[in-house]
Amino acid sequence: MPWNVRHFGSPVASTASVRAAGAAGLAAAILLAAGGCDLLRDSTAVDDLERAIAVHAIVWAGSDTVRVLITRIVESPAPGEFPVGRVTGAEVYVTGPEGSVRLGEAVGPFGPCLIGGLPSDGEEEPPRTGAGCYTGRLRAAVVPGTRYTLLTVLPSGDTIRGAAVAPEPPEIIAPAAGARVAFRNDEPANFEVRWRSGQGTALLYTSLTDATPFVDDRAPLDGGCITEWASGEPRAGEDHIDVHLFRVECYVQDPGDADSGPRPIAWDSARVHLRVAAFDTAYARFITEIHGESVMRGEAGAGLSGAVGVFAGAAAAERVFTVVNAAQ
Amino acid sequence: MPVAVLVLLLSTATVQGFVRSASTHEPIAHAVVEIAALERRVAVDERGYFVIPSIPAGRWSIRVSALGYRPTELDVTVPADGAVRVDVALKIAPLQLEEIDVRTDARAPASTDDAGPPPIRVDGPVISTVPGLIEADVFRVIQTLPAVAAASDFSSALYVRGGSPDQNLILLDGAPVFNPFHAGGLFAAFDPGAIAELDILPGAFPASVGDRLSSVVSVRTRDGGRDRLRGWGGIGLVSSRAGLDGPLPDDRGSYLVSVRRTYLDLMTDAAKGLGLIDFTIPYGFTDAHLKAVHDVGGLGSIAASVYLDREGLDITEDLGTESNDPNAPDQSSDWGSYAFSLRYRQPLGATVLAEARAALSSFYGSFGVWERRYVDFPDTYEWVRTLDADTRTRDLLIGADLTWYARRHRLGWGVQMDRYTFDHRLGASDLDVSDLIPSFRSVDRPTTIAAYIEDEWSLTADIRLRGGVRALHAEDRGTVWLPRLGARVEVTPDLTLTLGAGRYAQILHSLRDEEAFAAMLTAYDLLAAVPARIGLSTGRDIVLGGEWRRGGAMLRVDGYLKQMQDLPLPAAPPDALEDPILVTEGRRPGTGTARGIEALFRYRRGRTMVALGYALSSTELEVAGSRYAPHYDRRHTLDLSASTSWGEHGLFSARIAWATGQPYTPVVGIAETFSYAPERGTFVLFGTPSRTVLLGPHNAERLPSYFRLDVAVRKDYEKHWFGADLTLTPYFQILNVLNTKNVLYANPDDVFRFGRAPAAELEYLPQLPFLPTFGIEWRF
Repeated sequence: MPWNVRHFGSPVASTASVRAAGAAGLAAAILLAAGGCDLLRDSTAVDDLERAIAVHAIVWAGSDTVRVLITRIVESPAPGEFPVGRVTGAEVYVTGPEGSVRLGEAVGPFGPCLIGGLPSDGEEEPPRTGAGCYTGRLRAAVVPGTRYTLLTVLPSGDTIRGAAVAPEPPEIIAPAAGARVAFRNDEPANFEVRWRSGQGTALLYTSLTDATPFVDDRAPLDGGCITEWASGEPRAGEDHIDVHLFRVECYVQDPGDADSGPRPIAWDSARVHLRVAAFDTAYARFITEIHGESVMRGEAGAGLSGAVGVFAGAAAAERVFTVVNAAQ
Repeated sequence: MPVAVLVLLLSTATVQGFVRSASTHEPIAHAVVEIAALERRVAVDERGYFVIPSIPAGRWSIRVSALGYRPTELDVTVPADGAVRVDVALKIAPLQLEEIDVRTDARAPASTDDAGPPPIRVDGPVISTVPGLIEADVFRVIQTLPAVAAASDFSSALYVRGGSPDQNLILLDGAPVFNPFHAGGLFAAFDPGAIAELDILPGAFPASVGDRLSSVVSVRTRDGGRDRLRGWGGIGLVSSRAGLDGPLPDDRGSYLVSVRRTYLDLMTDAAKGLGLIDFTIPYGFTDAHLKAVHDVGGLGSIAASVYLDREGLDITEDLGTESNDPNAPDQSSDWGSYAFSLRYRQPLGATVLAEARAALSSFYGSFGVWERRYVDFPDTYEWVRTLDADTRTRDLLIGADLTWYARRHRLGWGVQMDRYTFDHRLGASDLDVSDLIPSFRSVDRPTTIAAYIEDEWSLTADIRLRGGVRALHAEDRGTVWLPRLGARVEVTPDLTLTLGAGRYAQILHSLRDEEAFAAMLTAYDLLAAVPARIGLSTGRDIVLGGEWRRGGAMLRVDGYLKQMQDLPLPAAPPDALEDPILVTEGRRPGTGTARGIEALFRYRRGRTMVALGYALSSTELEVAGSRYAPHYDRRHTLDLSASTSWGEHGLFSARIAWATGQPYTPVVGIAETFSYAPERGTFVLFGTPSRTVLLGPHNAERLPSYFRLDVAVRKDYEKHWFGADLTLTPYFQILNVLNTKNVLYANPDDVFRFGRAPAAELEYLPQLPFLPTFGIEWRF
């Protein structure tokens, strides 16, 4: 059973906040001095806004599964309703070197395209929505450096087109395979992650995913670990980053006693999966210039035309290393 | 005809000399000297010097007049050859005679003999009568002219006929001044009490001046009186100033000293200590101006002028305001400038005037931001410098001009070499900061050499023509030839038509992105040389104008068309709120087109003055296939200023400014977007969906129109204190009397609405609200 892994890193780049240097602060201070806060012109609503279609899809090198999420802002979600408007009935095609595949729409309230919210300790997997989620399998796994296209025909007849090229997977240099990192829960452990970027990479993101506990060199049945870690965001062109591991706590789920929940265990070591994901320029542009930002209407699709959102390529590499519990 | 008679008729001499004030002996610039019997008129230059060549031998009556002075006539005996010197001292006219000045004399020309569109002139004393922001500011007076637009209440930067501020050459006594304002334009750079006059040439300027695309603003400070010691000063809410002028010890020259210091920091500290406010403004500036003029020989002179400015802003952790976030970064900034000029003028013989000049002007800035990085929250932390910037812009110039005065021609030629230094180092380690201010290092030291030759030809008594060419060589950025033409026709005694056209070039440009919102509020501008791959920016314009004068009224109308090429513009129209202040790489050659019609009406009778300016204009920039109106473009601007006496010694003045709104980028749509969680292999939704606001074409819509009413009163009180006659002038002024909620910018944002689809709205960032200020001026 996979355990949830918390993290503090994020692939979302910092949003620029407007800091006007020098005179801006001075001007603001003078405004305040004059009671300027009470003198602001009232905001005005903007009417007749287009509720634009949004498309989110990423093709992963080495995977033949493709998921395309198509949404549009809903008018009035009911209380408790997942607040994302579905766009159903679209025809979605993804074309690669092996030919074209039409994706099918997921049924039911859940689907694999979008997770709503983050789970907390002990919670089950959060709900997924099937609204507007189109999935399918290509005839072959996605090949790095190869162009894949997206064609979506909406029920209205409008079309959305996209194109993506998955980057080459990164090569993880450090930590070495089987490396051992000493760790105490009262003292953060720092280790360096170093890689060699593949062609077509514009943005990298590191994460610690699954962790398996070991006690007396054996992995207990139904065991898992929660890791808390943080890392910065590597800038373009950088080939390494420091990861700070704050907490590792391992549990087992006693068989036949599901009601009592997982039980903490004293662990000797944990095998931790490090994942370094590489994204292409389309995703990098999406996350820095489009997601949650104000953007020109004609430039709101990264790798897309006819919709807001992203159609991007990605590739990942994994490395397993061992965290040794130095407190034991 | 007997040869002897012919020789007599051909025997001519030159009349030359100075026009000065009878009281202070300072030069009266732009007075008119006229020999009516010969239909010969000339305007004296800024030094009060005039030359009337080719005057037949005999006794002639010369009339000299100037605005605000009593006209004078005197008889002069002109010899058969050589030169006769005539120095004239004009007395200040009593108030009731003010309307009978040179501008209202039916036969008198305007106080300029430019053969083309004349400069717009602002006299120093006028500056203090126009309500300003906190204190009188010469550049805010310029902003009231129809040829000039203002981007915001917070800035005194000049946008002249569709040009950006980096296209203006600001000269202080001949020395270029970079960033001629304090705190980005909140406060005036120059002491108004030290200014004699300023000329602004908003286009179609002659070959002798350059090298900018949009305007030349020449600020000339007073020489200082040659009769006795005088003093002046003022105490205002945020600053005080004091100045002295008087004769040099040998009575062959004069000096002027002016010093200002703000105490905004001290005032807000005190107000906070008294519990009136809960913040301080840790900003201060000090500036000083020194000038000395000395006669050399009979007609020559040498003038030295020094301007010094230093200012700084320090926001430190011990600021200790209740509203301050203790985690807010510390900022420490120092910036300032100096400008030094040396000018030597010497008439060579009777009809040639030589001038040599040298100037050194420099602007420097240092900017640092420190942020706390916690080692052990909240007790242990270290300061990390997240922004480190040093910048310097310098111009060392030397030049010389020769002017030859002939019967119908005035031929000028000259050369100038400018050695620039653009040295910028900026390092940002904070991601938020680096989004707005990119790290870069740039050192560039280009040299330009400019040379010109130009002739002004009096075709008839009523028609003057001007033709010249200027060449600008800028090393690897190329060499350009810049022809200049002008014409002036006095159609009737009341009506004068002018025509001017020319081509212009400049090497420097601003590193700011004019379209970025934050750039409008920066304390100063960073300048650099245009990229060599783009080459010199060039422009050309044509200006057709007419001027009508009768009684105390003057109406001037100008129409213009200006085109600019190879402007180094950011590659694409940006999202103004998110775009970086500086764009240091990837600029592309852009073009600009500006056209418009301007009207300026002035009426003066006694102590009542009314000025009404109106401009209809349109500016478009184009870069990388995208065409848009820049953020400072306004379709209509209207400016009405008036002043009238208030009692015997008081003056009431008011100003109304109205303008159509500036362009902004509209919101046209909204969508929800999700980030991706690689470790989960899916997109994720954190609570409320994140909205992406979709913007329409760049600057496609207009902000609400702008309106402001300012009023001011001032009154003179004559005192005799400490054995001296002293004039005290308290003043009170209110900016934006009606508290009109003018808009600086519209910020598009999405709005969460419970139970309803999200919407969008425009949040308005304000201009200045109702703002009263007061102070007192003094002089002796």
